[in-house]
Amino acid sequence: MDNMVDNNKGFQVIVNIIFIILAFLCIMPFVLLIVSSITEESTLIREGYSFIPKAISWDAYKYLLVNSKAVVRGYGISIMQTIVGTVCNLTLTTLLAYPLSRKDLPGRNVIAFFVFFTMLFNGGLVPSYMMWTQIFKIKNTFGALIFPNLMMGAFYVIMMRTYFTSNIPDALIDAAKIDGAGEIRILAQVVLPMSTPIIATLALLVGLNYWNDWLNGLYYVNKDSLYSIQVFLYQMLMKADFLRSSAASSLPVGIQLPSVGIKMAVAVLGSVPILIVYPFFQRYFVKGITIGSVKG
Amino acid sequence: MVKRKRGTFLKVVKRFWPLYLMTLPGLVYLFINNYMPMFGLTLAFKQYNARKGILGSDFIGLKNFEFLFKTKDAWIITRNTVVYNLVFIILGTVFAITVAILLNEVRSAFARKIYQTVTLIPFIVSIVVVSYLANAFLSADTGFINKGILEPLGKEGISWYTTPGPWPVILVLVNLWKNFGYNSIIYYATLVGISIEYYEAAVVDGATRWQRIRYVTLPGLKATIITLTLMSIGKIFYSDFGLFYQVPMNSGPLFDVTNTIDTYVFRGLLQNNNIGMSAAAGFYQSIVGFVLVITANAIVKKISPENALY
Amino acid sequence: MKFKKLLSLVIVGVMTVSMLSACGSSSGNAEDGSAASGTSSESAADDSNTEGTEADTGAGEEDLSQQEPYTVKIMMLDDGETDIVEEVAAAASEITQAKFNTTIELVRVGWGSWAEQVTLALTSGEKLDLFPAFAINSSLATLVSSGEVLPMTDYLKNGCGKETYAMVDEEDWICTSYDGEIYGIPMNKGKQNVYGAACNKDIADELGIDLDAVKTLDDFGEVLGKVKEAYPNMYPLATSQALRVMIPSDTLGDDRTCVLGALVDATSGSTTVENLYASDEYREFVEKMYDWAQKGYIMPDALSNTETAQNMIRAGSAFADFYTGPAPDTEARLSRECGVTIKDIEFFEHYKTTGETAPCWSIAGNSENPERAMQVLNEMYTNQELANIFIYGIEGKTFEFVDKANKVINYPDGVDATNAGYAFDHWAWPNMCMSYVWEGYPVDVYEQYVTFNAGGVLSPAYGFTFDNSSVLNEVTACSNVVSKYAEALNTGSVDPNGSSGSLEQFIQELEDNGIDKIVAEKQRQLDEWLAANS
Repeated sequence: MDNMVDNNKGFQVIVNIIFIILAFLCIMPFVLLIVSSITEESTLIREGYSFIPKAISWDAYKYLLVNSKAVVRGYGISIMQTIVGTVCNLTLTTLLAYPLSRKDLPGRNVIAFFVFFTMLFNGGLVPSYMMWTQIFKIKNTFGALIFPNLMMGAFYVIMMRTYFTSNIPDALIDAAKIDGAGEIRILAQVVLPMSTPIIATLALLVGLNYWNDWLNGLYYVNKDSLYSIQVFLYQMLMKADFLRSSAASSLPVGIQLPSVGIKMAVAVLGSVPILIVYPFFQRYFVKGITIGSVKG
Repeated sequence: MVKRKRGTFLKVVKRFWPLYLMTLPGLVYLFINNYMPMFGLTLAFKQYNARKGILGSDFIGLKNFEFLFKTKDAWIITRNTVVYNLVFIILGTVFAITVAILLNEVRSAFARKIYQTVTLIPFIVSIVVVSYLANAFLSADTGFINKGILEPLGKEGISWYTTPGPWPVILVLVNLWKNFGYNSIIYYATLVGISIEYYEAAVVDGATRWQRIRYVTLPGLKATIITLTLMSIGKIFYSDFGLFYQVPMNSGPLFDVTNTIDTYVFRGLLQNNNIGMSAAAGFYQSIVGFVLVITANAIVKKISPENALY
Repeated sequence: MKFKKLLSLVIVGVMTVSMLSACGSSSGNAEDGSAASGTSSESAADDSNTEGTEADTGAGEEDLSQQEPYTVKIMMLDDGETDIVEEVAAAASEITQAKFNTTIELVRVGWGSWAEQVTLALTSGEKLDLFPAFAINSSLATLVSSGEVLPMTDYLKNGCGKETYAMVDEEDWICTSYDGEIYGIPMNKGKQNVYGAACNKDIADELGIDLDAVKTLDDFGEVLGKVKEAYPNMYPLATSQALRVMIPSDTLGDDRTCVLGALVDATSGSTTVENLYASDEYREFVEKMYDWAQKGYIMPDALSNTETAQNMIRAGSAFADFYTGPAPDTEARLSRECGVTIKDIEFFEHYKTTGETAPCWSIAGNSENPERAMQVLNEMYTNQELANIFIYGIEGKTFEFVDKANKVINYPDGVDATNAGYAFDHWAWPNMCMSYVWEGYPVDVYEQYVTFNAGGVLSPAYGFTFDNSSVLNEVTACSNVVSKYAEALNTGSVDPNGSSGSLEQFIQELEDNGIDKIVAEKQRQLDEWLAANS
């Protein structure tokens, strides 16, 4: 697929320059974030944000080290939540997407609509909360971090279905059937081995959602042993927000607020793991993401 | 007649039951998580009372919807929501496709990989972190733009959070910045799937680079564009709360250009936590999206049936 | 197509049935619950009657420890580590089990998620007995009309809440009453409206400024000017918390940050409701703030600043912060938080409004047994040992006596605010005055509070609670208008007479969105209330 014929040098240079600029724009803010997390607090207040800080201080990270119990536990919860959630999601998504990709399955459009409809309507927070806490009793359990909105909308089902339709030849499935394979065996032994790219891609996307999730933690959990790193970050942020809000306007609220540096440091800690993990998945992206049928 | 129908039905079940069985866990989950709480939609028409429960609360007709339409801001928030979304859809698609095509032109495989990796980084971090980043640049007193760029140039700093003018551009840029990497990879993935024979044929016919893009690449991307756009249309009355609330730091003077349906409802209900009214807002957003998607999908079905969503 | 329709019908059918059965049962339960609570409150009345007669005959109190076992679930705001919170609940349960055969379940919710979690608990019908009804974005009237709190009048007047009832001023009870029923026990905290500023005394002394001589905002402006002159890089007035409007108004139930109709001068005795933002006082105030901002007294970035006043004063990047509600221990508390000596100055006479007294402890609408909840609440208010377990946690772990005779406490060695694992907000518990004194605070601080609360002018609307349900659309719209303009004007970020975001525009938009209707409704309800309560 590489180079398409008449590639002249000048054009290559221009294209590469464009991408270097884009890449720079993408990375630069993060550099600023990391630098500001190690900039000395009063320097930051006085001199402003800068890529080259006048004075460096590790205070923010030291402060977090004091709170290392919460941070380490938060990481643990985040990792567990991400792994378990991703596995559950992928299982359900695959099982649903594969039959939908089979053009010979009667009623598949109806099922597809049933799935798609969930992207448009939702009952709102209170009814969902009532159902999950009262019927399924997930409040303050690990399940609370996993089950609500596990499928994250129908988008991933549709993505996977499209991958199957366009990458698994019907002939292959027919051949397997002639050999006497059952549907489950076809899925496990024919389809899945050919689907590493989409599974890897979805694993990253779903994992990303779980890693960055704080809503489930906010609504369904008030036990600190179940706070993920994002919930920890969010709680810290919201304290500041609360102080600016109306309710606090006349109360002697003695909250010690984290400084800018600490917030930046927590943001760094929250983003770094995913930045480390994702290049490993990224090589599957191009093969995995297929949306809309590719019939050329 | 009936007998024959039942016969085919049984045959279908007999032949496909494992496939239906496979869909079951997913469908049951969706039923539980997404369909069961939908009885909450009735809240939009009720005066909620915790003691009476959702079904037992008093029916009050469309009263909960009034606040969405009766105010003078109704037009502004609807306009903002829809126009921003349209700009996001159009600019986002154009930019992503451009980047994808350019990426495809990069000769070095190693460089391609690096560019992909790097441009995806903004997509990976949460919007909360993005709002910190924006603040680090825009803060009037300590922000990098004022302190690091304008001041050394001898120019007066701009009070970004009280100047609405630049914000439509800022919001569009932030949105673009955050999502272009992901979207362009989607298009790039489709693009590399287009058979190279088409391009070779085009070259043989003497097509220029632009003509190849126009007549081979874009048609190849059509299906992807349609699918993604259809999905965005369903969400056209929704807005990314983080982008419109946290990134502008909830700053009042910017409301004319940052207030969307979601932020308006959030702020309006801060003083009176009314479940009925927030349910009404959600219902309104959903129903508009639903109608638009159904319509758009019907049109797509007419024009190119293989690209319809369902 | 037909098949599609059929299927969707089937789905809808199944959904409806399952919904109906699910909700049928839950709403049924709710009704059972309320019916049960009705009978139990009656039986409570009966009990107390019998108790009364027993007391008359000198037979002593009824033995409540023989009651059926029951768990009272309490939700309280601010952070607590789960382990410590459980320990606290266990320690508290020891007392309540001996006395009432009641177990305590305590849940602490951080400020960041408090409003969400309490609202979800209240609206979803989750088990909950007691909670502090404030900072949850709902007025008392709304809580009452949506069935989220239960009346406690009977328990207070005739039942297990009698002791508490006697300890609170009659007029304070009116602040937590609605339609003749009491719905909460007012927190025994500072109840005065005080408008002032907390200043860094060290800097004032250094510059030879006599803070005692500062009586008005203009005096204060001069002080800020002197500070600015001496420290040109400093923005003397911190603005981390939405800058307060320094006008002694009664907001009639609204938060100070969004006032839709108020008695502009609560100390004048006038009962005319006005749009605060259209008043001369407000114009004067925002013009002054703009002037100050122009002179560099207020940071230009006030609107997006997330640093707290305390942090800024400590870092030396600010000199003072406006404060509403300074109280006898404010200087001690702020000095500790800011790391410098803080001196309070005040601009107006103290006065009392419903808004400052109304934060209260209530029985949640879903309480399965409100009487048992009330027994515990009464004990929390009156029993010093229990109150302090809740407020400060476990002795030797989260606090330690420094001076046992005077009940002065501090953190144990090696413990501080960052690792205590149990946040202390004594004012947010039912009875702050029962709590031990923190080292560094005046030993007689709670006596000072009593004197402090007893003084001051009463707003003519003291006790009045506004019900906004008939003007909800206007309130929603006007809330948005206020958040659009007020903070920018209050912080001097925009020119009230300028072209963008001016005061004229603000007032005009409020009027376009129906502020007059809200004001009129407030006036109507206030007049009615005044007529009924005079």
